[in-house]
Amino acid sequence: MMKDSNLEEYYGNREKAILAFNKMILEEACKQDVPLLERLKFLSILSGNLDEFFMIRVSGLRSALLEDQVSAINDKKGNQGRHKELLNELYQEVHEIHAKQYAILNNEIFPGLEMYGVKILKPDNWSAEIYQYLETLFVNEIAPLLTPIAVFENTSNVFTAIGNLSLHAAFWFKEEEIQEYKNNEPSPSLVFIQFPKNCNRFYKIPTLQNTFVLLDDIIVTFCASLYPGREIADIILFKITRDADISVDELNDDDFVSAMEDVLINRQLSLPLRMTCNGTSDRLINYVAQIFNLHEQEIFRFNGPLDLKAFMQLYDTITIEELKFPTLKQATFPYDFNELWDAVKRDDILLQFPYDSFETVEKLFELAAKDPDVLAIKTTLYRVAPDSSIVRSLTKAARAGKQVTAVVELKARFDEALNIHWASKLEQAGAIVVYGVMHYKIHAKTCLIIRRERNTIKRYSYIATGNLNEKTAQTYVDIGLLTAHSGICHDVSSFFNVLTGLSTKKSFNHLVMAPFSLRSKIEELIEREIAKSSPEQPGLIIAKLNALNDYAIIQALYRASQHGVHIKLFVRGICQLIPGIPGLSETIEVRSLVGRFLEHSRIYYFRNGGTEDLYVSSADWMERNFDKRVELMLSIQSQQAKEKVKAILMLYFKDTKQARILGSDMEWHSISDTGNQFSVQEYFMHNAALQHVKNINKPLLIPRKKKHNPR
Amino acid sequence: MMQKTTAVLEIGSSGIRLLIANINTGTELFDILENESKPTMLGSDVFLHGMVSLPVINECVETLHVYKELLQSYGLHVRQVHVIATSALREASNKDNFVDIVLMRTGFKIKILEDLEENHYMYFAVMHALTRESENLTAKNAMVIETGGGSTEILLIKKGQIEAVHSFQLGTIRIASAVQAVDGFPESINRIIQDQVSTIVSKLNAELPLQSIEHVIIMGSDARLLASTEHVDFYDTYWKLTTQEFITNSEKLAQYSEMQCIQQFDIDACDAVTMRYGLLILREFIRHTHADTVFIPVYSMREGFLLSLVVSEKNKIQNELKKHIVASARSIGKKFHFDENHANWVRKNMLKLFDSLEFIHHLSKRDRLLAEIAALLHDIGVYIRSGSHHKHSEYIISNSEIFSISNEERIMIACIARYHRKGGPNPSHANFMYLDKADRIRVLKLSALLRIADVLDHNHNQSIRVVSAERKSNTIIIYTDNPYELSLLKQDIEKKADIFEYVYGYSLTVV
Repeated sequence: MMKDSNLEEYYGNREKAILAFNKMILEEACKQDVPLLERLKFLSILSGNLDEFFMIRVSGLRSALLEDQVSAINDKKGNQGRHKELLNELYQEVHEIHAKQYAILNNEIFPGLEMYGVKILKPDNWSAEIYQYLETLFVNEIAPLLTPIAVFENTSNVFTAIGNLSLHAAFWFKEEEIQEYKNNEPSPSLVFIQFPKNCNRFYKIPTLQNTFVLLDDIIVTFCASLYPGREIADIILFKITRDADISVDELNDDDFVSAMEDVLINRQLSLPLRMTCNGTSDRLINYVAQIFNLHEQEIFRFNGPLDLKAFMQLYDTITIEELKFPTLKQATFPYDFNELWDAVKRDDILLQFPYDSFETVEKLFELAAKDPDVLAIKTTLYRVAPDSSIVRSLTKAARAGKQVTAVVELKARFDEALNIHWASKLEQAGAIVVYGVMHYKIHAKTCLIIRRERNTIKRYSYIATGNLNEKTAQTYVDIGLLTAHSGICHDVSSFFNVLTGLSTKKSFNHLVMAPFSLRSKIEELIEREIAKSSPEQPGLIIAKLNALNDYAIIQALYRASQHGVHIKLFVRGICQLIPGIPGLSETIEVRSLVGRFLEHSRIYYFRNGGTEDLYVSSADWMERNFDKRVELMLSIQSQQAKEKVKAILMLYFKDTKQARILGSDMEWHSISDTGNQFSVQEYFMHNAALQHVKNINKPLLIPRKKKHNPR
Repeated sequence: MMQKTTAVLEIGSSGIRLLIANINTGTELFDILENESKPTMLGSDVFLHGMVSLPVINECVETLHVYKELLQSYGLHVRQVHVIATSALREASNKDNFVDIVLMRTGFKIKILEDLEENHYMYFAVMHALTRESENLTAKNAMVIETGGGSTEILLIKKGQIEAVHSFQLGTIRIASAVQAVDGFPESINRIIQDQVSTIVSKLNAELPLQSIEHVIIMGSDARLLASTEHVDFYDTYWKLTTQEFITNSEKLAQYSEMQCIQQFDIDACDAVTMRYGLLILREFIRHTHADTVFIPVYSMREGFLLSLVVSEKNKIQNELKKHIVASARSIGKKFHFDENHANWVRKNMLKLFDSLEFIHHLSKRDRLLAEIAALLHDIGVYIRSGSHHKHSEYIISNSEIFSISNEERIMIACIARYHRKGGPNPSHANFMYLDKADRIRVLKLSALLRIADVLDHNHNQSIRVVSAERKSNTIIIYTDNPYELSLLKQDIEKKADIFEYVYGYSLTVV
């Protein structure tokens, strides 16, 4: 019997879907065959993700709950109860995840690392020599950076002084001392010390190999010296996670850049959502929690260091090969880079990062900046690497008098400060910097290069699923297409005209743009698949994306399934579609994969009665991508590129090693295939290595063409 | 063969539009890089108040600045851009100031096109887009029509030859204000449009009965929008549909509200308002024809302008165009019952003289065309009265519409015709004085030749043909094929050689 796809029960819960994804990451950290530092890295990613989960998702639920309370009298749907129940469940689940996370850290990772000689020395194990070294270090380098906040009776200033996600130590002195002090001068009852932002979290002991001391331990051990003659009774370390779901009021703020700066400040002071802490004094923990109005459920006591995100530093410092994945040998650009323009003109160049080196893209910008024939470069910039070579090239190009247009998205969450910094640098160099558009985040990743060739204009464009970021391109799996196709370049050019306020076009030939027509186009493509589906030749939709939560699209997919269309989805993260429900989603299969590289490419395939349409996009099938962001979807034109992308897409459904399948219970299940296991990421790595060797050993000899004399 | 990147910027009544393209004079093709448009209120300002207001001027300047940035990204300087303006600016009382303000503030130099020049580019666009249909089109009578904000351009083509060319003051913005002035009910809209169209139709019927029109070619964005949204058969450069389909679809689209148009068709708000009236005007014209097929080229006047830059003198379209211009002149001749045999004879001798004396006049191919038309129409004033008919010729020509001939050129032709007999120019001759110095010399050079060509058929019996010409020291000798007949005209020739000797500085002998 056909089920009604309108029913709310057929949409998975978003918060739970996020946690389900994070559990996959945790599972990766548990795997014995994954090198130890990589397992540590998964734990560290998990910490970052969970912080973000609170800042963005839990914050939303909390505000919903507040609103429920306001409108409690009219609460017929019982939202208040539901939201409360959900919040309780989520907090409970996060507690469980953290418990497992620290169990692995303490029982497997740290002992394992020690076997390789990597030690993180606790104060108990410090030799006199080390103690002395660290004490000098504290006095000379750390103490000058510390600004203790002394709290007397009134704790209200603490609330605003403790910023989001900053690590703090809190301690109080022994009672009798307080009494003593009170007689002479006011004595602080409590002291807070923020960990300095520009200090390392780990200090290497110079005389010992791979031996480290945590900043946490240094501060805890020596902070008493800031108050000579007094003795600390209890000390805890803690971190407050606050609501970060605050954005610019675009209607009322004229100067967007300064408004953005205000947001960054406000985010530090918004509603506290949880406290993570360690330390032995429950009394002190509860006292601090009380200041932030946090209850037992919202206090996360860790048996180990806080903020594992900082452990990435350890990962970067240690060079023991066995502890990490073997170095990835990336396929490099097979031609001389000076031949890049000609190569692109011959056919589209399809790149899959990180297997293909991002150097090709960096060189593209470098070449464009240097090339005297290049007249203009237009690009979107969302998240760029620190000290980005692309921004450097753009600056160079602008200084060289080329027209450089950068459409910069300041609202890229958590990267705002960095973005403001280099955008103003670009502006100073003479580039035209467009700070996004009102009300929408520009998430599309594309660039256009205008070049004069033999008196006429030739255009090149690059359209990608991932950011122009050489750092993340080492770990994010993304697709980038470099093309000189005149139709596509025309569309990209029009797209930039729209972003720079030159045009009001909303539709293009080869590109589909959100927020205008992306949603309707996807719906149309799904409907077309339904229309062309027959029992003999069922329609087929294959999509690889990061998240699927759009109500209308999920509904359309259910409808397609009810009409017999086969649907294979690869959703890395959040998926609110429930597969495998008889009469609703029987023909839908949902897979995911968490592995060495973060799956990030968005590829959409529609059989279209055999014609086969392939798209790559910056957008997931999420409400925010369709309605709140400027996104692009490209219909691939080159036959060669189309075949390559299709082959890539298909391989994801062959993975039996790391892939997981989403059950109708909305949990991810491993594929129990004990035989010959195939890993898609390993396969691409292997291929890239082959290509790498081939390109290095057998450089292609391409004759340099004689230059045409300009007449 | 030459390749280059060029741009056309059109300041129209409802929008400022920019076209950037790679053009190739070898292949005579172009490849469009940018095709952008920004709305403007220029048309409603001018058509309602007669002039461009300051806010609109500022808005235009702002738009032009934005375009300047885009042009720079293609390495194009303001001076390399062809900036043309159409009916709205043409009619503005402050057009000279507007042109100057734009030049001072943006560097763009605007050329205001005359209505008939617009037709010329329209023709280029049509011919280029409909090459595939050319046989079909030449076999039947056709009408090319474009309705803009301020005017409706119409070309009537009789079996492949242009019969009439007109620019009427019927436009969407004018209609919009007329509708606003009454009640705005659909019936009133239809009535206003029907009234205005039927006045025009009765004028057109005098030249070529619209009932004989079998094909209609519609230019303009309204028609293109209709074609692109209503799943019409598309042939790379044009859409083709039946008249009935056009009428049904235009009535359907005309019912959409402005909001619906903006949402569904990705068009600007101001286009949405005028689209309805544009389609209704077109529908009304079509209903007066007997057409079964409607063609909608993808190109606009701007692409026509680009083509005129690309297409070489030898090109088929260019040749066709010349034929049309001459045909258009000839149809004026017919309207005024000219002596066609005489006109043809003089035309042939005129061209022969022009070609064999190239070494003394150094005039251009375009001048040759003016000479040809002047020769055809020089006696047209006889229609009014034989006495002083040269003055009547001047008057008729200067007030006629000849396809693709600009205002200046028409005045030149009128002057050439005027000086085919009697005295030469004098300061009281307004038309002649209107021309600049270079053009006056051109007029004199050509009328000197026309006087000879005309006198050789003094008796209207078409018996003396010019064979060749040569220079012997200070004398130009013209050879003819009928010395006997010539001897009877000796005195007349001597008299008519006055301007020749005065302009060229040679004495003249005809043998």
